[in-house]
Amino acid sequence: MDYLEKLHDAVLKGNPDIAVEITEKALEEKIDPHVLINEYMIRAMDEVGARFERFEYFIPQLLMSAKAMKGAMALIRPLLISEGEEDNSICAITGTVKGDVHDIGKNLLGALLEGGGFRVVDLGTNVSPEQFIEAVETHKAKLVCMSALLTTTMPGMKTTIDAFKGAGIRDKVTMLVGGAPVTNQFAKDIGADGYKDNASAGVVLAKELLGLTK
Amino acid sequence: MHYKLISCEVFKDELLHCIDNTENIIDAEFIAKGIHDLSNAEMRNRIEKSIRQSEGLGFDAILLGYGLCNTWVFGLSAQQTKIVIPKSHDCIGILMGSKQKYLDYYFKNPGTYFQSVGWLKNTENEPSIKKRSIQKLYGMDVSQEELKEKYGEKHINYLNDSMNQTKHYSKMAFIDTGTVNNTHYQIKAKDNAKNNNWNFDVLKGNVQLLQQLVNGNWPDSEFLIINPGTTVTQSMDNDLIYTTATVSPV
Repeated sequence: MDYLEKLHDAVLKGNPDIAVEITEKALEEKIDPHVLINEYMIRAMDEVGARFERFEYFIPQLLMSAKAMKGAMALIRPLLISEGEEDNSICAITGTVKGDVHDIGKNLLGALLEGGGFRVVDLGTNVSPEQFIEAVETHKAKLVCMSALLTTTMPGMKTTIDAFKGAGIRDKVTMLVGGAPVTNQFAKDIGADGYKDNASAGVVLAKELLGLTK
Repeated sequence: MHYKLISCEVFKDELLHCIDNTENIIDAEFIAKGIHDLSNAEMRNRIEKSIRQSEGLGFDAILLGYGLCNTWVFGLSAQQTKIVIPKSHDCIGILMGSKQKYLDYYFKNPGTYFQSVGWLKNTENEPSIKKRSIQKLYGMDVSQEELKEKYGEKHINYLNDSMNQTKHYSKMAFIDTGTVNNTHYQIKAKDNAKNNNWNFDVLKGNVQLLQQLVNGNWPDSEFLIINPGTTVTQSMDNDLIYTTATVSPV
């Protein structure tokens, strides 16, 4: 199984072709998909996130690692489902708040959350509070990550949190906020559970708050 | 009154028009629009440098031709001279003459790229700003050749698409403040819209807020006055967040 380390390296170095090739081989050899995810890919993505935070990795590298992980996951996920296995990974809902159509940071967070073992449901951009609530209920999500790039649209985060309170489900989810104009103080003021200024740190925080830290 | 004006160059034409139409004496300094591409702290440092150089020189106030522009304004303090800044999210609200007008338009048209004469005159950043930009810091300021060489041609579309900030934009709106002959720039904006396959709109703006700024007419609803010894901090104001000045901690 030595060649599996190459899967780790392919994700770490952002080589989607090799990641897919090794995954195909491993699955043919009936290697447990969970081993591929937990022992190789998540470990690689954790390192990608750490390098990104240290400015050793840049956004294109992070995107390539995410693509490698996604490519491998695309092969693995149908197997998990066909085995009738219950997906016990924690569901995270991501979305850019109403009025805002920017999504680079939000997508990076989504990629790193997936890399961190979360099942991510991305609602895209211009997402209303009602859509966030519906998605949480449909997917039984435990984590909501909201993004905004503009000060004009930032209040949409508060509106969304208030809507969760109104629907009586605020205490059932962890709600994180991020985006260029967002600050810690703002996150506290609007009643969010946390804020980080980059996607990688956001994943670490999400894991901490959900008690997933090793 | 004798005011020092420190402004983003995006307002240069409009402000020169306003200065011509005020009784006050205005010493104007325009700063490159490109500083918006730096971190908030760096942007604040640059503007504060000009503010500090202007304090203690006998000006009745220092006027800022800036909006909140992300969050650069948090932490800005006045030491010897009061500072006045319009309460606007960014230059768009100022050029439209009203933050409410801006918000109403924006929420009806999410994904609008706004342009004005000042925007179109100042599209290229100087190298010293480019190399310190947020884009550069996160590795997004790279040429197609570099991307191809590093990641391979087959991944170029994926990378470009993933790093395209305006991929969900659908409209370009040119703000006509009515003070500058802008036919040439309107055509340019329309061309830009066409090149991006976006709709195009011309919005009637005005220079009312900029004129009020240089005239010394600063109602609380539209302007924040930062008195000496105070610092701008965040607030949860409903109509415009983050514009409270409180006493600096000693």
